[in-house]
Amino acid sequence: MMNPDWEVVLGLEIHCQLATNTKIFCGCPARAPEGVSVADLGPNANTCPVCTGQPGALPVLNRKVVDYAIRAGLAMNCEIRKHNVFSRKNYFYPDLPKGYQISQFDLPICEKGHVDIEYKAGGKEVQKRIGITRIHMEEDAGKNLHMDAFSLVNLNRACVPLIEIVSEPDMRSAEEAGAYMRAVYGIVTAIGVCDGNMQEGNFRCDANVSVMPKGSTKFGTRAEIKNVNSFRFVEKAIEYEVQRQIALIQSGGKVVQETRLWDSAKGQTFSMRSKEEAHDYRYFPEPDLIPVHVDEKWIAKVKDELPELPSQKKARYVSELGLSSYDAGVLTSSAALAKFFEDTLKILAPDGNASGNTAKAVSNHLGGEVSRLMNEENLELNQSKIAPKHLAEIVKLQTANVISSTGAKTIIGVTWKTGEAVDGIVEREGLKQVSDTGALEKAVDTIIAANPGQVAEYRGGKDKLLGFFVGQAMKATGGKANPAMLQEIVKRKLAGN
Amino acid sequence: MLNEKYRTITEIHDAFDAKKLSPVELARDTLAAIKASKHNAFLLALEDRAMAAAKKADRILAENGKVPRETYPLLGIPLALKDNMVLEGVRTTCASKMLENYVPPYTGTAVERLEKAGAVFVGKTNLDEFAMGGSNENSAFGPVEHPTFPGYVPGGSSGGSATAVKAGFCVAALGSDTGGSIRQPASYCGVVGLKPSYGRVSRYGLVAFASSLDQIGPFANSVEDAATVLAVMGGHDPLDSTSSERPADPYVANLKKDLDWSKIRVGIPKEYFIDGVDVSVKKSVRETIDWVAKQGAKIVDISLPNTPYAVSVYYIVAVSEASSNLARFDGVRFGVRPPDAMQVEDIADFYKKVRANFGPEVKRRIILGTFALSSGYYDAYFRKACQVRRLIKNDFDRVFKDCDVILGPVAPSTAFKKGEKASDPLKMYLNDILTIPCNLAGLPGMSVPCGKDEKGLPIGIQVIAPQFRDDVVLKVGHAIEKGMTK
Amino acid sequence: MANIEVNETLVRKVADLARLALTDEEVRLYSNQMKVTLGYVDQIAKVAIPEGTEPMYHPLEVETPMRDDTVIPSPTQANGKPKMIEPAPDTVYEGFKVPPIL
Repeated sequence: MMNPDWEVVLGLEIHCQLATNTKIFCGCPARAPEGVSVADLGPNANTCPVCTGQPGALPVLNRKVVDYAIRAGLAMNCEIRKHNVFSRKNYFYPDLPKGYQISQFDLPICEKGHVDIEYKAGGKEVQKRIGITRIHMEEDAGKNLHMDAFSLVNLNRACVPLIEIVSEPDMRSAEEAGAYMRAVYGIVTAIGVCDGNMQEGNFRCDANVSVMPKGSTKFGTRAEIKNVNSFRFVEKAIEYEVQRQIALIQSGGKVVQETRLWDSAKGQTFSMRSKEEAHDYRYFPEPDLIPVHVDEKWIAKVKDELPELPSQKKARYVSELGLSSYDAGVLTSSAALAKFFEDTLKILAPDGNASGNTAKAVSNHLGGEVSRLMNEENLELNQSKIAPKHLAEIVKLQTANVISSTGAKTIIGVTWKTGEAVDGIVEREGLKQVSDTGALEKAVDTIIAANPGQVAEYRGGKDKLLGFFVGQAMKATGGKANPAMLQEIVKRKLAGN
Repeated sequence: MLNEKYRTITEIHDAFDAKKLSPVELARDTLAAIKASKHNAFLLALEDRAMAAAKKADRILAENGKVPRETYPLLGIPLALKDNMVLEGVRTTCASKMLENYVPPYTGTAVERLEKAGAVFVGKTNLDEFAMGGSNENSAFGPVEHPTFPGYVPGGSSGGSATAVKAGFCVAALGSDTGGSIRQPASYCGVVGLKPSYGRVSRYGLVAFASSLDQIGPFANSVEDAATVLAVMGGHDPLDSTSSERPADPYVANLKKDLDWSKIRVGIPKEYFIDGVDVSVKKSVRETIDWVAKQGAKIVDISLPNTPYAVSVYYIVAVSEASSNLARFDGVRFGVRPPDAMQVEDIADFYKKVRANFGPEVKRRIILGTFALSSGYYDAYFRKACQVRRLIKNDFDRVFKDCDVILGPVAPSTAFKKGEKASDPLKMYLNDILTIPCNLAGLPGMSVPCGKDEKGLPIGIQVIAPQFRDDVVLKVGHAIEKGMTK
Repeated sequence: MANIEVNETLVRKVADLARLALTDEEVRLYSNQMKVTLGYVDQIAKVAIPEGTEPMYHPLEVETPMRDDTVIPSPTQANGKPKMIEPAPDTVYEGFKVPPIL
């Protein structure tokens, strides 16, 4: 994928909806009960004079929003600005009730932080530090619903609190951008400031993409891909955009600074062409809010209450459970995944002393099949039916050689969808493997008797044929043989014992 | 028209106590007078609401025998409010075509507090469109007539409220003051007009013109009445982040004791007596200052050297904030939408069709403000203006070390004839030079009638004190008022 | 100050940004008036600003008050519909109706 002649420069702006009860500037709910998005309540059922921008209505800041922004800043190693200021960003759009968005501009609450990422490239594990330029607080806009002859404006989401996390242009590949986005996701969900529901747009990002010839120090013109709300799409969108820009330059064209959108169905980015002239947001300090003061005491209090960070959790998994740094990183990339992991271990070892092998087994399933399903279906763990009790049962059965690893994957797939009990699935799908030595020996004897030529060749030194015998014997048992036992028996029989 | 005998809250409450007058009678008479009036001071009479409130006041009066002044300091008192303040279910137009049909779904804090104190709101008063103007000629629903000099302007932008009080359509009225919009019409009409310190009265429910300058304040026939209204509506409001958490002073009780002038140092800024100020205005204000000196006050000559820049700073800051504040008038959630507004190719054209409802002065200011904030000009205009604003405030901080209160004219002239300045925006803007500095620095300022010019047009003297010393403004104003009527 | 030439192009550009449609006559009038006003306002360019003078954006320079994260139910009409759509010029299914976007 990577082109050796070009260097890619990527910066991400992540919008993260804060998990507060109320909106940032009024008392309307910011979250509906039972994980329903407030945006999906009846149109405008979740609005008041403030969030609909009625003439004369005024914003009052939700303290919790500042609390959460500080928490996020500390978790991402930022400096907290003690005197930070809200500004108005002026533009017209029907989902923007006041004709301006209250955001932060030159004096944001958090600055100069970093996030450490880890990812695999070419089979190697790579570690890198990505700079955070700033984190600021702002209000979300409403939603426009597009019909044929008209559009409808729903302001339920207007004024819902967001933090925008702006990275330095430190990333050099789509994999890095994906790893960074996952790392930030892991942090904001672990510290409880974000529900992390990506399908509802709780966590979405804009990617600034540019390319420059290898060795150049001058960044190319960047395009901004707006509103990508999945890890997979962000990587795909960046890969597409990089190739587009390289091809464009190589054919003598020029990259224009513009906003583009990702079309996941077509697998392409496309320009958001607008007749509008370039935006001039006319930022100025919001005169309806006085500057926010954050003192040392407040910062210290938030620091005290900060839950275990993904990086700390990861270090613990490595030192206490003996997981590899990479595996630990995957598990801690989302608070839900880490909790699932720990809950599963708790079932398997209620005394809290899970063995390294048990931890590794649970980790392999979560980082493997479970992650694959999450990616494939673009779902969060809590949106599936699988629970820690399922995975604990699967690991138990696998350790006891009752099911094979293929069987384990099948069970994960079923519980993911249905949540039914594991033993029922094993029964129905016939996943119990044959671990009966007598039955296996009988099958192997039959194969050896039927293939005298191959037996002679093997005994003459053609070791590779071992696989042939194992395969045949496996076929004979309908694929249900315990593979480790089977191999052991084949070897022994061929050796003439 | 209110009975000449009953012009103040105390007079009316005494009449209620003596059963010479009832809240319902007073409300009925007032509403009848409003309907018969030709001043165009009102955009709406609140008949049902006022009669309901008056009936409730009658009941309270009957239950208590006398006016329970502690709990209902405004019981049965007819008040008017400028039509840029919202009252749930009552049309609020801001004297603009844009809001001709706007019925707000909520009530503002100041009005709510006054109603709770027993006030009877009789009507909503005319103003310059979105409070932009100094003569009330910019109303989409026609200009307001001066209460006593036909053909003259009552001043603006709260011209309707000033006229309503002077002409006896109410005992007190609310106005809003961004650059002098309470004090200047009060001076022109010969009533008391108070702009409280920025942050003293909640702006929640006041349709914003310039958020860092706007403040709600009362017009009244006496300083004491102005104090009563401020005492009721002032104080912190959790719905307005810019309302001060500092507790309000006992403004009314403070007035019971006579002012000891010998303890007061009065600053006279030389920049407030410059060439552009009419001789008659200077003369009347000087005479008042002489009287104050005779009472034993120490007169201090002071200088506020950055005063000449106030108008420039104001016109950049006010229009910049206004350009943003008025962006919400887009015809989506409220406001008047022209019939063809939906037939557009581009949403930008929808906005343009809707926003054609703004009048010329509003458009002029939005354009200037949009310019002052736009990229490439922000630093030279908006930011620089805010730096000079700081210098203006520093001037006040400095002189208030040497004086407790400042006295000077309110406006360079008395009321002028309709049409006289309408075609020259700059001339109209310069008219605000003596009132603007208070708004820029957030100080309380009050206009108290102090004399008349050769034609008999009223002249007001301006009383200015440090921020949140509204008590000082009222105390000094009260003493001047008493001295002038002797 | 900013060596700015106020002309009709500038007025049109700014009016567009503010979503105001101006007639040619209005453009002429406003650009003339803007010239005069800016000509006057430009006096502040000459004001010497002492080193370290912070712009004063607001007369209150204390801490912003904040509110607790406690829900206040959104107001509704007697018929249960959202209160905030009451003043709207045009609604469909409780949504604010606007011309088609995109």
